[in-house]
Amino acid sequence: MKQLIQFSLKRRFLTKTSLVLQVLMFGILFSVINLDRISNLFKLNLDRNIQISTDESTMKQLLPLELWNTYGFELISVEQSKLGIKINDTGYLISSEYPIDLLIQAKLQQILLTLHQREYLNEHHESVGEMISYYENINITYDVQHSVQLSQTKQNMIFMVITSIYFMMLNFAAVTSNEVILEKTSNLLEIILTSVSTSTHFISKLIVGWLSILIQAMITGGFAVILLWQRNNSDLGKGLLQLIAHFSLIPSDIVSFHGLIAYLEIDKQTIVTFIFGCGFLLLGILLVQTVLVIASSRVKTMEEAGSIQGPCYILLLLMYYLTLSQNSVAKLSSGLGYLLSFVPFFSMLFMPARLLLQPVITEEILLSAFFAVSVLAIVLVFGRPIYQQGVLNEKKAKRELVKFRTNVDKV
Amino acid sequence: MIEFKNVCKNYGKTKALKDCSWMGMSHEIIGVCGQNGSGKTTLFRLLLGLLQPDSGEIRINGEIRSAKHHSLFGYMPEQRSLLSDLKVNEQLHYFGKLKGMEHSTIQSQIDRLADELEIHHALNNTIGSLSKGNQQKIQLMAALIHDPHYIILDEPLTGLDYANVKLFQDQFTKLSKAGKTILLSSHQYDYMDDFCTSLIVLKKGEMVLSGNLDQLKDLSGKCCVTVNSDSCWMDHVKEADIVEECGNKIKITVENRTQAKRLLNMLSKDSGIKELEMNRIGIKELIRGTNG
Repeated sequence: MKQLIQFSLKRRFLTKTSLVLQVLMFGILFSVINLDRISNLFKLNLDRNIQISTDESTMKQLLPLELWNTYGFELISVEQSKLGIKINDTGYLISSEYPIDLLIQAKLQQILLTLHQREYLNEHHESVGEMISYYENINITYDVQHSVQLSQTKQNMIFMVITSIYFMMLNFAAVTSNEVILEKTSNLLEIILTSVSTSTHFISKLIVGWLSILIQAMITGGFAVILLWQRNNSDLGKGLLQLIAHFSLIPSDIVSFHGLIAYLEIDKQTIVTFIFGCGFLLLGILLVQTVLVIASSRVKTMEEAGSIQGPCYILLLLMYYLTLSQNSVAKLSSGLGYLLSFVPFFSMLFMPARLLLQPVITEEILLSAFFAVSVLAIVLVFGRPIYQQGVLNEKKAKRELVKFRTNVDKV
Repeated sequence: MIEFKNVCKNYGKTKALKDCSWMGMSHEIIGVCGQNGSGKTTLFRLLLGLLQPDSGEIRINGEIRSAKHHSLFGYMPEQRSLLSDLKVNEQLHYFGKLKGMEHSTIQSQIDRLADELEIHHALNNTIGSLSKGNQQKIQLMAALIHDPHYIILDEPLTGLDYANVKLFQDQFTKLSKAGKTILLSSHQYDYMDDFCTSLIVLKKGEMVLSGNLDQLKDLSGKCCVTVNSDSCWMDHVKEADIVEECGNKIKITVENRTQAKRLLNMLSKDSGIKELEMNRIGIKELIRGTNG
């Protein structure tokens, strides 16, 4: 088994193509970690503020520049702008080169409403302003039964990491099944199986898939650590963090990586949640990988492999979107989301989502893990003979034998 | 020693091998013959442990065939089983390591086999860049890399030129002298006649003939008369005899030695005959006699 694993890993990571891909990966990470500098270099506008213009002095007086920014706008000159506001007899006229999407329309409505109120208040007595202020302000207190497990930022970050791992592992699961097909179609398997049993070969392929994920994660992680260290030495990551803050992913007062770590408050509970989430994800992906490897043993050509892996990817993508649609405390506390967190295969995303959003009792975690492990064990036990039949082409051998004998009888 | 005892293998309702019994000893080169679909590959796969018999026993040195016997076997499949993007050396090292060999032992085996098969120049080339004949040599090296005791070769001579066929034959003879048991299938019966010591003939999964080749030839009693003539020698040949063209000669197979002598006598009186000789029959005629 050791030789099979070593050979497969060598063919995956010590080839020219693989080395080029690692360099490419380094380049991508470098670009991401230095995105602010690259955007400055190429004068790219990554700011999410909508550029707008107006030559109405009233608007500029009543709405200071900061307020425009707060509403997600950036005031620029009329010549440069593709979006402009004017005051007309009936209200406001917005002219644009391109159709305006609903989100921008909503933002425009918000800022113009504020402007309209200010304009009205400006013309009337203070008491009218007080009345409106009283009329608009209501006090609402939320009394919720289920508290949120982690802060929104932490949830977002962990879910991003988990989904990245999810898609990366899916790719490696497909690579493993492609390897089986290559060995089968090149007849190499027939030779290999005269040295090792089909069970050993089957298990080695699953291990190779897992080790590949770990090795790739370590390589990518290593690159990220080096680049982040370099960025930290350069400007403590300030430029990058400010850019991220523009996208509202973190507060704008975080100006260093140390500050970000302090803000995230990575405590024991966060780490435990992350580990459990990854555990469920790994169990699910192992199940997907096992099914793909078994299915690939029945495949005759690489083209056929694509027709199996394609629908599988679509299914996994659908599951990802289903998880996103159910990703709220209410939906994961009862109903479909709650139920699917116990169903093997679905639990690889639904249980981590629950763990991130709400406290889950130990019994529920254990029950879900038990179901996932049981189904995996069943697939492994019942899949082995199917794999054996598939890799040895027993059906093909039978078909050919019958065909030749029929031909001989005819002759 | 390999022993098949009443081995049966079915693919569903199709009987791939029926009640097959035979023994293979050291120093033997056993030719496995039969039409396509006769069960040759199934027999090989059973021996290699890739398939399990439905009934009967396969014994290796008296023990039931199991995973521990894997390293005793070397296998060269009919179709190429090499990764075309790998270098020859890398591929052979991989096969050697799969058989549990040390790096240095593998290298010395590669060097020895490469010398014997005259392929030393190609060891650092990728397999895809080699000619079909050279790929065949690498495939044979892969089968022999761990110095196996039992060597199974499925159509090893297909696609080889005459010089390489001779090279392979010499290798087989050498291995046989070293005490190895070789099983090979081929449809090139003339070549097989030169080096096979035993024969197994399969027909629709049934073993219709097996044993020492010389003994089988003697038992059949048939003889061959080879004629090289310009005259009309056909008058001397009975309807039942098998007449076959072999280059510029004619090969006539007769039922027994007496008939052969009589035919030889008659043909020798024909002044147009340039060459005349009597031989034992070959594998082809032997198989023809079994309708295999």
